[in-house]
Amino acid sequence: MADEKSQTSQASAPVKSGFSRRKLLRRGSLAGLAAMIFGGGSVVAKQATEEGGSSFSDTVGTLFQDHYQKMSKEEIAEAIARIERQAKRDYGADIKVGNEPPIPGVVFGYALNVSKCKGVRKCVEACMAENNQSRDPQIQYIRVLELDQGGMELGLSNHYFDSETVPAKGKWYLPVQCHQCENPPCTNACPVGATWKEPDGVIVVDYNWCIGCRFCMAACPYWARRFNWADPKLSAEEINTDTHYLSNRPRYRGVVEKCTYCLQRTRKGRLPACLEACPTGARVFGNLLDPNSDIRYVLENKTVFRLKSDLGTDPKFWYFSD
Amino acid sequence: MKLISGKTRNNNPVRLAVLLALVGTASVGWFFGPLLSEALAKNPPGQEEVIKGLKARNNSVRGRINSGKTIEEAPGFKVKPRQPSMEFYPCDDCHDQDSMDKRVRILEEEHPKIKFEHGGGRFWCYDACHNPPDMNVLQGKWGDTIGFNESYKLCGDCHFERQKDWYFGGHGKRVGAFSDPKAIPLTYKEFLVKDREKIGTWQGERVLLNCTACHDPHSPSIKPYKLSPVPLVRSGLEKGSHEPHAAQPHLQIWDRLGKKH
Repeated sequence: MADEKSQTSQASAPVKSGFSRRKLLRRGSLAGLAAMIFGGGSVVAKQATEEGGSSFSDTVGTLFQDHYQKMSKEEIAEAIARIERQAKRDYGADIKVGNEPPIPGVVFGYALNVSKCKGVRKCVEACMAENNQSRDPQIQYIRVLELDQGGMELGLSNHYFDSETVPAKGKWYLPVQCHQCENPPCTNACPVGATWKEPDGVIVVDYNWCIGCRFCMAACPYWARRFNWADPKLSAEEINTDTHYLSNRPRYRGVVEKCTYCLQRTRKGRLPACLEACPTGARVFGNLLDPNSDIRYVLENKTVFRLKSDLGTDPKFWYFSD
Repeated sequence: MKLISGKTRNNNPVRLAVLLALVGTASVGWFFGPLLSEALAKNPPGQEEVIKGLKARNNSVRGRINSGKTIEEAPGFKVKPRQPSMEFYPCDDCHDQDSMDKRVRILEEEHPKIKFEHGGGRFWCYDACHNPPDMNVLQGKWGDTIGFNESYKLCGDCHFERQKDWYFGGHGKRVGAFSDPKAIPLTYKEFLVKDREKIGTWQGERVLLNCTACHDPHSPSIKPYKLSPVPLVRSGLEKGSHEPHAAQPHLQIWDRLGKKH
């Protein structure tokens, strides 16, 4: 009995002193969580960068990542390194995420000649190849609307048209993409400030800050924003490795994305992919502040119109005809 | 209604005179145009006349409409040369001056691919563009010679409005700065995959495609295109998914409620 008592007293001793297994686990997990919250975000992420990174540390680093506009240069560099490593893990591609700032004295504008557009959809194809949209479910930024000649009722348009050749008889075509409004309703609708207008006039999204509420999609009168309902699917061969933080870097499930006039190209002086792919030369792009630019010539000399201009969104995307 | 009725318009002597003058000018041009071109071909204009004509062409009132700028004031540009892509250049390999056949005919043996559809088929090779006996160059309306690489100048003799748009970037296609113009990729896959660094720019040096890059000069209207793939429709939104099924008719909400009761 004495042995039994002593055994019992030894076994129950930790209970009395408050060190049961359950309590130990609880305290341990709390301490671990606290360590992760107070130190894990920065320390682990920094360590991860030095050591080449791991999935867990990158996840923690991404979790504590700040808004793009609030991050320092070093923090952005760390975020970019994390995104590149994540892309390698997810897609098996060595992508390069750029962070080119807006060019001073440049505001981008776009014009599209509706009498030249024949509805070939090359712009749509090139846009997908350039901007790393998900292939399944398929996401496309440009909708080419087919309308009856003489008609301008967008509600009667069809963007799933499939004739043998284009232009189909009695039809005309109106490609619609993000109009990069000067007074954008989408940025006003965002409850967390994850989308904003850059100094060069382009509306961008911080995909890490977006909460996926889709208010911006409801606010956009041009149906220009797309939502990732599922994890984007892209093969390593399809992925464009030349990306920009605010444009065509890989997106996540549950975030909104949109056309950015191919920021990764245009901020380096290059033309958007849709313009280069257009076989009819219907698209004109340039700097609105340069009086000698192509776009300014079109705006000054052609009869131009803007879609739903009565809404006061002031789009920087014009349509014109010859 | 009175203002736009035919009776009122015809009663206005000024309008009638203007109308008659316009019709008269057009008919004179229609009658004497071919004779004039024939006379020009027989008696080519002298150097002074050519210069005068060129000046008139470049500074014409028609060239000054819109922004008030002439094509000389357009920003500088380079053009993708045409000669490297020409199948039979130089032309005088075959077009020997001694054996030149200037008769109007259907070209069955020499250039079977050429279709004379430009201007509704009313032009013959030497009427408008080609320059016998020197077939390696083109001839402008004013008798000036124009190289094949600069054929946009020739097109502008008639299509001056389009030409002006093209000079300023309102028509045609800007392909950007290329060190080797032959390397300009023409399909989107090429420039997206292989030639990423050889892509056009919206600023800096302009490189434009010549008119003939898109328009066949003998049949210039753009031919129909084949379509790119149709966008996929999200599941549940396919065409016909909301239509009633033949075997199991789709019941409206009031039908279902009615059955329960």
